[in-house]
Amino acid sequence: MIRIKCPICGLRNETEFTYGADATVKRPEMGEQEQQPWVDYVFNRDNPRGWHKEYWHHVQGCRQWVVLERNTLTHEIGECKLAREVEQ
Amino acid sequence: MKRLDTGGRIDRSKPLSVTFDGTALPAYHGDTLASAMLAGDTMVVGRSFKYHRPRGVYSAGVEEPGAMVHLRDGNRHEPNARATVVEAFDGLVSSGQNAWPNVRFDVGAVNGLFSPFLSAGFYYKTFIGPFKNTTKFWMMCEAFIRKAAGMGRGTYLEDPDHYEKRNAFCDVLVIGGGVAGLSAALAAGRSGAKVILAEQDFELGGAVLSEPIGGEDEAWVEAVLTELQSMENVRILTRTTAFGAYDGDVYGLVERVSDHLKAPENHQVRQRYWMVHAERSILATGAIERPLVFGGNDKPGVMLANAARTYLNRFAILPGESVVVCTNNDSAYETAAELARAGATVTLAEMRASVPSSLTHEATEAGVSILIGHAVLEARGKSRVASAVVVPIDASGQASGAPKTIPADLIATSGGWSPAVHLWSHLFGKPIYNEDAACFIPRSEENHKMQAAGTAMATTSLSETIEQGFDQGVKAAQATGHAKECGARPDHFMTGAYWQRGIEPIWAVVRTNGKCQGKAFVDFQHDVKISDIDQAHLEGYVSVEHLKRYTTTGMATDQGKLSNVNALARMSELRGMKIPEVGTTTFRPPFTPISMASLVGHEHGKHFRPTRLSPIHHWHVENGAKMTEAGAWMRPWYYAEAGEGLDEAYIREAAHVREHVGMVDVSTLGKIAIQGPDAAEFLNRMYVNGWKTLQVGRLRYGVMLREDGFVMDDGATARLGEHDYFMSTTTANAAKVLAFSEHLLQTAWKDLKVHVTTVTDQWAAIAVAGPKARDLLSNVFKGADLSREALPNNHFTYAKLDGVAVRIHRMSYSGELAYEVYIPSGYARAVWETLHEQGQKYRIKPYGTESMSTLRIEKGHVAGPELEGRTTMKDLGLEAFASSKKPFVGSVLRKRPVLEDPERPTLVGLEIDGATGAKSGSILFPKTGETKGHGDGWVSSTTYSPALGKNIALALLKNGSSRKGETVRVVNFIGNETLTAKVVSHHFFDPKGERQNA
Amino acid sequence: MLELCSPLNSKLQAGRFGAQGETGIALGGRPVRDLWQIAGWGDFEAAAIEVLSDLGLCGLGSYSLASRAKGRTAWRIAPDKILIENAGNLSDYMSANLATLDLSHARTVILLSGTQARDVLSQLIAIDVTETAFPEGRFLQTGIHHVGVLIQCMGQNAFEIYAPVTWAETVWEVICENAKPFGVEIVAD
Repeated sequence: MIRIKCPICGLRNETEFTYGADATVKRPEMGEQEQQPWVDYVFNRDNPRGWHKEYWHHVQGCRQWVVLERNTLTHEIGECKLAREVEQ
Repeated sequence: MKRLDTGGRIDRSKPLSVTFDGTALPAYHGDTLASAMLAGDTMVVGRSFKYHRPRGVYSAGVEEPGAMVHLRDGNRHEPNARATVVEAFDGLVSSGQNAWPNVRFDVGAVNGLFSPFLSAGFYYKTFIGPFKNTTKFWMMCEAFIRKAAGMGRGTYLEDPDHYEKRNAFCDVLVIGGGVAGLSAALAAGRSGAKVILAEQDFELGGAVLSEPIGGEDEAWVEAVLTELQSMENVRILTRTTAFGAYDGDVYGLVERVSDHLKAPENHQVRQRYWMVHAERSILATGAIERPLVFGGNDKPGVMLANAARTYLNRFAILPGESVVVCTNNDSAYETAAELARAGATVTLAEMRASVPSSLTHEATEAGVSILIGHAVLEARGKSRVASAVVVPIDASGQASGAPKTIPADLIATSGGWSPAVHLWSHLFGKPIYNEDAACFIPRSEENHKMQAAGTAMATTSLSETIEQGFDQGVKAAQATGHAKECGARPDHFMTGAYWQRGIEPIWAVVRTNGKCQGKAFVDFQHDVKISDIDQAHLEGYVSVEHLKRYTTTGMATDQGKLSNVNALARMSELRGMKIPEVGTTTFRPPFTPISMASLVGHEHGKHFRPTRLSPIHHWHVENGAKMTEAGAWMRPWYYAEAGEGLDEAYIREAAHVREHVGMVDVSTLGKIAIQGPDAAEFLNRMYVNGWKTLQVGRLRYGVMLREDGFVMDDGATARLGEHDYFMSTTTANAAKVLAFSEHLLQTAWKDLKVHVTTVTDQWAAIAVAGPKARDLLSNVFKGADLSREALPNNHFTYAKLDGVAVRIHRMSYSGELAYEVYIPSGYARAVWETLHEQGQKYRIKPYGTESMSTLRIEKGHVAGPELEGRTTMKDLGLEAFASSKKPFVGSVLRKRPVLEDPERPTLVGLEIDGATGAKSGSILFPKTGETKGHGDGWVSSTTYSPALGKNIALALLKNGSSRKGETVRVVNFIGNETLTAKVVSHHFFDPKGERQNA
Repeated sequence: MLELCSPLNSKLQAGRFGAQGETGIALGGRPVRDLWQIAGWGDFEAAAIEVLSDLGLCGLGSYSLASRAKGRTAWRIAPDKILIENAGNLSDYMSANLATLDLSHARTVILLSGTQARDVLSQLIAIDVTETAFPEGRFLQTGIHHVGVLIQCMGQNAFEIYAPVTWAETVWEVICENAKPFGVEIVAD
């Protein structure tokens, strides 16, 4: 069971959340016309061994999107911040 | 086998009716099914997995490999129950399993003759060996093997009982209610920490329960228990197994609330699944005695030494009258002495070459004959032990002299003890090998969330167990911020003999040729013989994990409890290595089997998932609607009139709308409030079309793409105020659109001042469609000007009904003159009823989702079957909506060359020839040629069209726009049916839209 | 005036369910009154305090403690969103800095009380709901049976569960099912 410390609601089970996306990729600016940056954003992903950042949505809670640090090797959970407070 | 007149922890004043295979067993309150079987001298209680060998009661605990039975009957029938942990209750019915006609005479035992073919790797070899490419032969054999192998049979009847889940939070979870666990719970409890103590047995005390009653140890347990029970911060759960330890400090426990009753009483649950969140845990799970490996070591009448002691002392049963005890350590001496004192003739085969007289003294006094340097080579007897072949052995367990046969009805063996480290293993802890005790124990790590204590750490005396438990309790309390004084340790100074001392690692007894005499088992549950380990070694298996999978030793319910060390020891011996170098396998949850029902709890049947109801739901049900599931929603499918089935009803409903007027509940549409000064910019980015010019009072249809350029959703959005928009989405995509919007606003578009909030629950919606729609609504909503001039399509207005404000959107999905009435949901039923009542003079009828679909297919509107995630705007003929003046979600990736391929299937209409319609999902092929592969496209939506008087369909067809007029074949491979159809425009009905603009 | 129909109409029928003997759980319902959401942006707190003080509520409360006064309750449900019950009509506060939204019909309240109320909650949500961890006045946003709800603790053994109206029956049924071993009394309106 992943336990996520939502900055708004406190420590909660992962069942209240839905996984969203890789939080290490940055969405291109709206005006970006080239295809490659969008292809990279939508399709190309690293598969890191160790610490990783992910977007999770506290959908059965405050409905905030959070950036969660998760260790893909040890299953450890690190810091959890509101996505809105994380510089992209 | 006989029940003693005195002693034990059974209540002789409470006899219970317990049967096995129809025979009554002499059971009392406090018995297990296994002890009742032994009291009734029922020796053969099961048949083994592969060879169908007779098996009896081998242990007195969760490790039981042999006494697996069918329990109860009817809808409470349960297979594979371990008789050793089934608490006896009045009315308990049990029977043998994996045997025909019964466990005493089992035809399947013939498998034993084929044992050379059923050895390690049997399945792999059969698939790739001589029978390769002989599918037919294999299938025939498989049917036979599947029937013969395996365990009990389940039932197809529905379980009548309730199960529940419960969450609990504590500072310290103590797993195991033996001496170490009690001691730990006491220390943690005294500190004020919140403690949960879980014990799988129905009594607390652990190993003390196997001692003669009335001893000092028992008094210690009682004193500690009394104190624990007085603490409000300590919760004691008996009949509760901690089956798994998981990430996030979560532990899974199952409490068998009513398993010891014939049926749960007064609405209580059968079992309760506890999800315990504990900051710290103490593993006080004790240890499991190890079997010895010798020929026939699985015969009924061979038993673990401590099990024999448990049956004697706890259940007052003399498990044998002529007993041979065989041991490589000190722990079996108490068993031998107590059995002798209870009246048995006891011979003790001591495998070690020398032992101190202080150890042998008590046993000799009790009348036990001790044979130093001897071991049991073979257990003999047909379906139960009749004698033991005992030989002198050397330090490796190899026979070194002449065997002699000793008559025996019980062979009690002890190969040492394996700490139950399973839950430690669940947390990725690698156990380490303790040479002194010849077993794997948890590695002691400071700050680890789980700490082990007691015999789980291979303690060698009761005092040490108490001390270790208490110390771990104190540490756990401190680690969770409870510094209160824990008081003095409840010491116990009995320092006499204790299990595990003086072990010599001799595991298997072999003849002078190095082989066991006859079949000698390592894993009783899967019939894995020591020779299978030898064979795996010969075939080159070196990793223990491979060995495990190849031979199946330690897999499934055993999880290494009995088999682990004996298999590893043999492997290491063959490889000329030490056990720790070979390593051990990983134990996985569950520690013991748990019922699926306990994990499911209430979430099955009706409560498998939540159900969503429109505010008008009950009207539909009360008025004869046949309901259908649409995601989580229940929606009216059709309203059958006298004698109508689905087809008659939907065709009538659709025709009625085009001729008169109909009303349909569209409350399920997703509704999202889009608010803020940047709302128009937000919509501009979300939708493919432009939004900056939309005026207050207007609404507009829009299409949304996903980031990858495929169509995500469509719907209309109304501008309610300067900074206030009301978006509608399809029923299916409402949650997705909202979550996606929130994501963008909280990440990439933080600069936009916009809030999105679901208002799906706030607003119910009723679509009123048909030539009489305006007349009806104007009549009901007095004062609202719904005229063509005042309220053209894509406009909305406000109206009141009896003081309730509603909003009326003019837009059409059916192609008729139509309106959507948005109502605060609490008034939705009242408005619906008013419309229905006052609509009678306009011949209004409610219609369901089936006819709604007919109407939109006739119009060629896309819906879920077309917006299925693989279609682009171009595919669906929606490209004209896309603005070229602004970027929007998906605007760049929709231009990927592969999505611009002119060959892609595009939306067309089909007129199906003949009287039967096409099935959705049918594949389209040209008029001639082979009908193979993916064809030229597929049918997405299909209906009979009353307006056209024929069967029609929407489809996606390669080069669709240039194939109008062509005849194609519509092949339904599942129904094996081929139809022909004419390709037409998907705007079947009123293509100019004159009716909706009326 | 048209009849206001509770989404729990079919459930709020007086009756006794589950275990015989003492009643551990009482279940009831009530409609919410004037439930409004206010939402804003950068200077949300300042804009919100203005509205709240007009309503006689002092302070924004915290993410777990509601601000309550004069029969009104305000819940800080997100950094930039507050829900207010009994707020009257807040539409006039709509501005470029503040968005107001009427959600009065979007939620209904399930009343859960009784000596075993906390046990029932512990069967429904994976949050510590013992009295020390979840005392009177505190609230939680969580999921019951996969449905997002807001639970307000009203006392030692009393809770108000704000559930979306279209999910209200399913939430009710699951609560009732879980409460049966304790004996359930349904309290009609």
